[in-house]
Amino acid sequence: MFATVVALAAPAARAPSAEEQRLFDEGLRAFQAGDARAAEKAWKTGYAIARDPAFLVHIGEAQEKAGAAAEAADTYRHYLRDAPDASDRADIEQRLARLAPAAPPATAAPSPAEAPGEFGASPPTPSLAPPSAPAAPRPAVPMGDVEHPSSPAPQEDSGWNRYNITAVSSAGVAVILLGAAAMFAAQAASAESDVNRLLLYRDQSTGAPLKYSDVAAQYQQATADGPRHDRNAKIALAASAVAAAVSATFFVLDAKLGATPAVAIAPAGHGVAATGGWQWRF
Amino acid sequence: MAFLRWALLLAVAAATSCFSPKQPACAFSCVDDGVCPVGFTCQSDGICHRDDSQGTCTIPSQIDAGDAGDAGDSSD
Repeated sequence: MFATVVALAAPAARAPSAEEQRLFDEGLRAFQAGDARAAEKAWKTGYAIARDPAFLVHIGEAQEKAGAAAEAADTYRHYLRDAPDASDRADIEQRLARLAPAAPPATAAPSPAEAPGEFGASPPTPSLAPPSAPAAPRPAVPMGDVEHPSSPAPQEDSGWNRYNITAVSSAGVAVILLGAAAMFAAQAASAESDVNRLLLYRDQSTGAPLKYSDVAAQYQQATADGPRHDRNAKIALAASAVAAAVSATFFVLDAKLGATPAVAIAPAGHGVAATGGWQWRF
Repeated sequence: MAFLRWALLLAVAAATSCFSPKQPACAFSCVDDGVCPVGFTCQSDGICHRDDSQGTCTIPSQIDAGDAGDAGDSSD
């Protein structure tokens, strides 16, 4: 059966050695018996002998079954590095995305709608093929790299999407507008204070008011500025309220839908564009 | 929460503030030139009276106060 699978799955690949087959069978039996760590050990030994990346998939599955998600993710990443052209790359990337959603492989965006894999009690059916199944170059990588990959850590997902970007941006705009409203309100209050001071001034000794012609320019300036600042404060406050409402709406949308579309932002023309067709022009 | 409190405070302050200066019936002195701001009229007592106000102003104009002081001094 083993030879048949080899022949069907990887006709162009090299034939596994007897020792590789023995280790693969040993690992498979242990895996099916529920001893994931024993399977991992056998397949690691097989990998150490053959340097065949296909072993890495089995090792990852065994680690996954043993509950070592981080180790499994490292092993899958190692596999993708060893076999960049493997036909099951998409499947492995999906596993990686499921195991480490915060750190998906840098070369491909994870599909958020993917269904979780099933590695509960079943044997590693997607890759039951023994070593040499993936037709891929096999660089000489020490076995120790399976657990301690030497390549840089994969690029992390920023967590931003169109909803929380818009929500945070709107919140920032709301805060700025609120600050502007407060500033205009303070200026209006200052102008009002100036007018009142001129209107109500009384000389302490005589009780006489100010002569209007002496303070006409100051009075006219204050009475002109006050209503203008007052109007600006109300406009800024209303705009701030609108921005806050937009922000709240998009925070809600982010909570409900935000996990789906991870976005990338890049300069575009006179603004910024994000995946999904969103653009902000400046 | 502290940020929200400040934001709410700013919002309330901005919403409630408005330019509404006091409207006294008697404001500036207008002796000599008779000049008063819009909404006020210079009357015979040398004081700018608000157009929609009634009655007389009890405050002295500058000249009146000076005259009164001078008169007081001269009477002595």
